[in-house]
Amino acid sequence: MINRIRTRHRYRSMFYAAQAEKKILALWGGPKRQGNFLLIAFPKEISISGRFRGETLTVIERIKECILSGERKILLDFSMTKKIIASAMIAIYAELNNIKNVYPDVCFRCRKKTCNKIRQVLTQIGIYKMCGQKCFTKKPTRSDVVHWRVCMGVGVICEQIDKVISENEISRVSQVGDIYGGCIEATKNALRHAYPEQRMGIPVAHDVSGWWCFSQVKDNNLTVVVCDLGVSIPRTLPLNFPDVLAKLKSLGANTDADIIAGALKRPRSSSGESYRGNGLPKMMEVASVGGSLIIYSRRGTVNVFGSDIRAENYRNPLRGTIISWSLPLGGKE
Amino acid sequence: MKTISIAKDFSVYPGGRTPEDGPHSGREFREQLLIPIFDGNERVVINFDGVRGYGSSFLEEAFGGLVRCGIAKEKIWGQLDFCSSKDSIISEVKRYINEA
Repeated sequence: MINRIRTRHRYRSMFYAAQAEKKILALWGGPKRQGNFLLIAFPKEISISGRFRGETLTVIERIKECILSGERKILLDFSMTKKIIASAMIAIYAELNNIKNVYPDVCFRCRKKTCNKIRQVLTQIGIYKMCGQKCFTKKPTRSDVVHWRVCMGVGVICEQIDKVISENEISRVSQVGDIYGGCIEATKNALRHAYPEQRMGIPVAHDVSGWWCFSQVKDNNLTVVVCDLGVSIPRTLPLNFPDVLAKLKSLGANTDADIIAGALKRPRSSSGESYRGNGLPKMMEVASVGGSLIIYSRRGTVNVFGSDIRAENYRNPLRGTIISWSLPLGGKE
Repeated sequence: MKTISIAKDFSVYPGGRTPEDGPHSGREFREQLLIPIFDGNERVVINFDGVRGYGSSFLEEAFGGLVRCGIAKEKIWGQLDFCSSKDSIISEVKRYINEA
């Protein structure tokens, strides 16, 4: 009975999420054009948690829909944007990069009108370069921007970690090894589990780039974010660890966030390969040494601080998985 | 006593479980550096310091994999010593050997 009510509630949530998405699209009106380019505007805050999640994810879906409908010239408008959260920006970066990998004829451009800080962020992470607009790329100077770094790849991160975590940061964070260990697991999961099948809509060229990684130093905190565009943890867990999922369901885990939170606690697998499945718990080690871990996958978000695990579900699904670690930096810059 | 430093003798960037995951995998480390230890009876210290960090799959495949390769746990405990500035790495490795 309870399960039936939960299922009904879930379908109802999905229905309302779809309605909300349609409403946002309707508010924007029809597609606006500037010359040959279709204009797509980003929200005031680019974020995948809180009130701007719906708008941010809807913009990403809108870009993909336009590409699928045959549009090849897209003008990205960041003029309204005042704040960018790294975990959301990596989702946008990954989708744009993947679209360029799958459809080399697609042409992205950015509107020139943006505030100085946003322009510096877009320059620093290479969005203008991706759009072929080197004329905008004046060297960033802001202290909260110059430490944004990006890398991407296939297979485990290994040497590429040096592109996102500098020697200086390694010397200032004694537990940086836990972030490296987490990144190894996240990038390995992207290779092994994230793409068991192609997603609907725009496929992912995961043999060209299967994961994307950002790092940022802000307010004396090092944040490292790894993103994949796979089918998400709540979808891959039943495929790779069906017995683990069955165990979680028997414990009442029905939502995406419950499933992710349950997988973090590492319920023992009874399959022949019970030595596997340590990856997600390994990612939590950062949280046990004074840092934090946030996992976003499909509708679920799980925040881990110390031994405290908070699970939250959103209406709008994220098409992929984003894992974010944060650690306080010690010592001097 | 002989010492194997993972950073100096293998890689500063330990990778994933198998070579399919990418370079410097746990299986490569096991096959190149650990398995030959058990051809003799010498005690060897494995030094875990000096690397960027470890994924659980590297450690599990390298050390838990020894048991799955048919090396008796008693032989592993008898010939391997572990050295690390982080106690959590040593206890993680011991857990993988015990649970394998």
